[in-house]
Amino acid sequence: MDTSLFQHDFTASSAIDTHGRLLSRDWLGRAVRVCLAIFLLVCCYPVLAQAVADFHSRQQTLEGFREAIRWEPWNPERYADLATGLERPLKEGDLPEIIGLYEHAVQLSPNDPDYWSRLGQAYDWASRTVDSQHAFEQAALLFPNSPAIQWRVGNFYLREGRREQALAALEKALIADPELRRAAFDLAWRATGDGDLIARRMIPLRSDIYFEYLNYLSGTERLDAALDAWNRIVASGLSFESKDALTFLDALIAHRRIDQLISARTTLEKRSPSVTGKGGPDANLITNGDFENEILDGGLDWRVNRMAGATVRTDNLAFLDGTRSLRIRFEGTQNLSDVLVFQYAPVNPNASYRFEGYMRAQAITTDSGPQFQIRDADDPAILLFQSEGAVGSLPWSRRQGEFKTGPQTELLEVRVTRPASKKFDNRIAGTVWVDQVSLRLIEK
Amino acid sequence: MEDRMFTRNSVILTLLFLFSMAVAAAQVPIGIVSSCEGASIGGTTLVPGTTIFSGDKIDVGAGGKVLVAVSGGGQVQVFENSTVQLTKSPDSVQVTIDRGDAQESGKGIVVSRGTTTPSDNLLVGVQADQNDDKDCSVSKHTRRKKRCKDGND
Repeated sequence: MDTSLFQHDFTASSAIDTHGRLLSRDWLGRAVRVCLAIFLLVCCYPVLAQAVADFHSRQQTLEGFREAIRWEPWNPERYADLATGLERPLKEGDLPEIIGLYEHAVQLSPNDPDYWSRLGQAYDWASRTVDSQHAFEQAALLFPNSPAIQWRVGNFYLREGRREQALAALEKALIADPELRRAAFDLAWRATGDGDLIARRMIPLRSDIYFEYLNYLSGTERLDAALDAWNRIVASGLSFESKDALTFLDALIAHRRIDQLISARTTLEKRSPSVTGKGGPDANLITNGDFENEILDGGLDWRVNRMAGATVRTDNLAFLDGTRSLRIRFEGTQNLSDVLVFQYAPVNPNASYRFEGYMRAQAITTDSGPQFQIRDADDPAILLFQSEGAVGSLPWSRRQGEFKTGPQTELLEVRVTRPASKKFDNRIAGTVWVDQVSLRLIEK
Repeated sequence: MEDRMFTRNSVILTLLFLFSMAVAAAQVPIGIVSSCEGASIGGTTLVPGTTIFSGDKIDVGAGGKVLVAVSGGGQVQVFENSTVQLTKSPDSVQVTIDRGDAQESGKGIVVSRGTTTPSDNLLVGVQADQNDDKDCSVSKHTRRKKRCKDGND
């Protein structure tokens, strides 16, 4: 046997085998590479499609939104975007397409309350009330605490005349989103005009919401409803501070509801005697007359008339009694002729009162110093009391007087003012302190 | 006989009166604010989704705009520096422009000029920018409705 031939044959067979295996490995590698490429393409396509769809969507044109849908037909937001685009502004015949788009969005994302809510609104627009109700209720079911959805649901019920359900939904909306409160108050009033129903069904017994509602009513001159809300606040025992009632008191003052003003003042006296003074026949009618509390700049508290040439603030270094007084510092730059601080005080007509207040002065220049004035709030020409001005330097000095109100007088302005000087050197400088201001009824 | 007639007529008249009072008291919805910017009703800032009732007067400030989706498929656009009143009549929605401009689309909406500024002309064919009122959109992430910002902001 020729061993070399045998060997040769063996080698040739081995080469063929190796070549075949290499060939098969090459094909396998190629197949793997192709598969990998396909896999990568499949994985990358959604990312790529989203990027392209975003690009088209950012153009904010109808064509851009349509192109975005072509690239990303599985994304419900694309349909909602196009629907929103078609709404603004609406063209004749677009409403069915808008509804179709929202329906598509809901089909793609049936657990998204926002799409249900928008679909409900579109149905409502087309007067498809039953479909609209179903869509809104589905949205509320999916996200019951969403203020935006409760707002839409509440509006829908109001349009359908289901006031109680509407106000219940609006209550949820205003609790969840403080920014919706005023809009909800106003909507409820425009829709129902029924203050009692609104208070019972929509306003929760929460101090912050009730006072916001009270301020809304006061600001929109619905004073009877405001009084009703105030009475509910007082009766329910909600906690609040005097400053919370400022807008309400200002409205009562502006509309000269003096009886209600006195009643509100009495309530505040019971709640915060340190601010308003204690009630009773010998009560001091001046609020915060000892300046021990923060000046509230409204209601029945002091109001500061800010002006160039004088700064007004409380002072805890100089005082007659307690721990604080009011300090007015004049800069010597103006011939001031205006009221510096004042407050309203409700009084009885044809009644006698005693006023008392203390002033301390330091280096007050000019011939005309600050003084107390009391005048009728409705007829400023009726000046009831005017004290001596504080000029130069003075220790704590009492200014007092008695006066009788006129037959029409129900509200007084108690002021600290400085009459203009008629002299050549008339720019007032120096400092004056005010403390222990009181106004008491002597005789009715 | 005359007494009975009188009583019956009185009852009918009373019922008619009560019915008309009830109809007058019920607010008639006209549509919904679908988007808005720098707009208010009676001093209260509008938010999207607010119902517009017959007799409501919409004020739009500088840089503002309002779209009202009128029930039945119409739409009213109120442009900046405008005041319009929407009222419902049996067969149409009347849009009365006190000042500024407004535009309607859809059947059954009639736009007319009020008496306040007779010299102004009704804007016709204005193409408003689409989707330029992002401030009034509903954020999908927070599910909270954004307030209509003041146009001057």
